[in-house]
Amino acid sequence: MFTSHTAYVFLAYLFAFLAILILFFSSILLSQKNSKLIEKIKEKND
Amino acid sequence: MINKGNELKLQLVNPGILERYIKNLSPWFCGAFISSLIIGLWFAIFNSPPDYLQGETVRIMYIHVPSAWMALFIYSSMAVASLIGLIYGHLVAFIYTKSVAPIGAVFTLICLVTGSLWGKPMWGTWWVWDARLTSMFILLFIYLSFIIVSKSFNDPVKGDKISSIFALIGFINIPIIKFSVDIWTTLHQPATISKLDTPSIHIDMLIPLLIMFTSFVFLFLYIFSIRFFSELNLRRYVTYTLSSK
Repeated sequence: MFTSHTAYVFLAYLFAFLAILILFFSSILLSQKNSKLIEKIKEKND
Repeated sequence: MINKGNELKLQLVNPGILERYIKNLSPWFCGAFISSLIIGLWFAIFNSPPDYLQGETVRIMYIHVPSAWMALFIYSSMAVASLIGLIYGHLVAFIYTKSVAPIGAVFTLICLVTGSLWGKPMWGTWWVWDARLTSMFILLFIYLSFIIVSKSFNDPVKGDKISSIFALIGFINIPIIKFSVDIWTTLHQPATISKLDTPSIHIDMLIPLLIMFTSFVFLFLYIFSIRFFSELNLRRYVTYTLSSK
């Protein structure tokens, strides 16, 4: 499929970059979602 | 009387106080990750020689090896935290294992995929079921199973205990991964860096490898700091809803 070794290197770095990016954004989204839960508790207590 | 050392220990097992410490350190982790990543990538892509046998493909090693180290380190730390959690019942230990499991799973996946992308041009195949590759593949499933098990219980205390026992059982796989290349005849090469005598890697390749590893450590710490707050808030919410029922 790929003739050049550089293509494999590029794909490896691209995959690592995308995997880290997905991990980062999923963590941020999860953190925001759970922060909203705490705000709900605060609102209830107020 | 509590001396300063014990006071710090007490603060570190208090989730609220630990949260403040991590919140202050989080931007530093992010900065350290970005700067070490830029330096590491510059060395790995532009300022390191191609291998005399592997050619340019050797550059995959600079992400493959650090991600493998991180995957093993994170799981080992999870096992230690699980043991501490089971013995002392510290909430921080349980929250730690839940926070870092997805990070470890992603590092394992990066290790497997980049290894496969290295294997095709070097070994002539994407995958072989040899001891190292198979045990690493099992580690990914252990991570995924841990995540599923830890989220499967409505009662957080029960969930903590069972997922910790699961993490401890899964730890059996870590020495198998480490020593698989020594015990069995594998296509995967034996240890290169962690040998007791001098590492059989040239210094020009060792430097980018270690810098990339450092950047992955900071990435882990940064993502952990985000996930730690998240898990802590979720635990607060679950505890609140259970107590108000």
